[in-house]
Amino acid sequence: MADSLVGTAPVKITVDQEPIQPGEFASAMGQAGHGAVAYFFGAVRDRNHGRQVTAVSYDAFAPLAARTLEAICEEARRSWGEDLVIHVRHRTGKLRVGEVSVAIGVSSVHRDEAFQASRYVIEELKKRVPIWKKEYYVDGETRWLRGHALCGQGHH
Amino acid sequence: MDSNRSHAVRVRLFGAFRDIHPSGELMMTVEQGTLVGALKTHLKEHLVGLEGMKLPESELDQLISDSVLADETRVLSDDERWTGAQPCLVVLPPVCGG
Repeated sequence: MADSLVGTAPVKITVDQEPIQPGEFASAMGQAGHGAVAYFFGAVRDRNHGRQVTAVSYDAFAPLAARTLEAICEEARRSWGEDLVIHVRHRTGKLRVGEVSVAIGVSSVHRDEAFQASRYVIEELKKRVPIWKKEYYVDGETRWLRGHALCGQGHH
Repeated sequence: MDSNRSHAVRVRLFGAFRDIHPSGELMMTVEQGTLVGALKTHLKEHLVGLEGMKLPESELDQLISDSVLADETRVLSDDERWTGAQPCLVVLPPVCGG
């Protein structure tokens, strides 16, 4: 890992409309002493439940989304190591098929913690973070996808 | 209604609610001390009579029932009382990011 990456903020969260460039995202990761970085990039698929998708719009309540993502990342650090560095970006607005909607990067000393923490972050993001998606179909119809209800999740 | 206990509150709507109320915002008059769960009933009363409402009432009921209210820092529990301290309430339907 590059020496210039010493002191990278342990948790970095961004929720905004800026396009996510995987190369740029990856180059900001890493920490001196870490030998592993696990990345997850989620992109808009061209089919969902048998329907051809042309685009997806992401809506977010950004203040609480960022706060919830930060909490999720801190939970991951408590579980898999306080030395983990975790970056998460989620894009909002209308995205075309193939565009990256979410990026997660976890840097750790060894690979096992990086893999497990990154999996944890994406799974919790889908259940807890106030972000919603609307699909646009080739026949012109649109649909907000059903999701996970936040009621009954034992809020802190 | 004691006017000192009633407040005009900005309510922000997200996700599927944006198809119902495209501006994504409405104003509700809320009495201090109202249970958060009861605020969801007030919300339904505001939405059900909207011109151009396409969602059947039963679906609107389900959507509101499955949603939570929040302020900028946390989700509010249905059984807590609205204090009037929050200038804005946020309606969060079931989430599906990623």
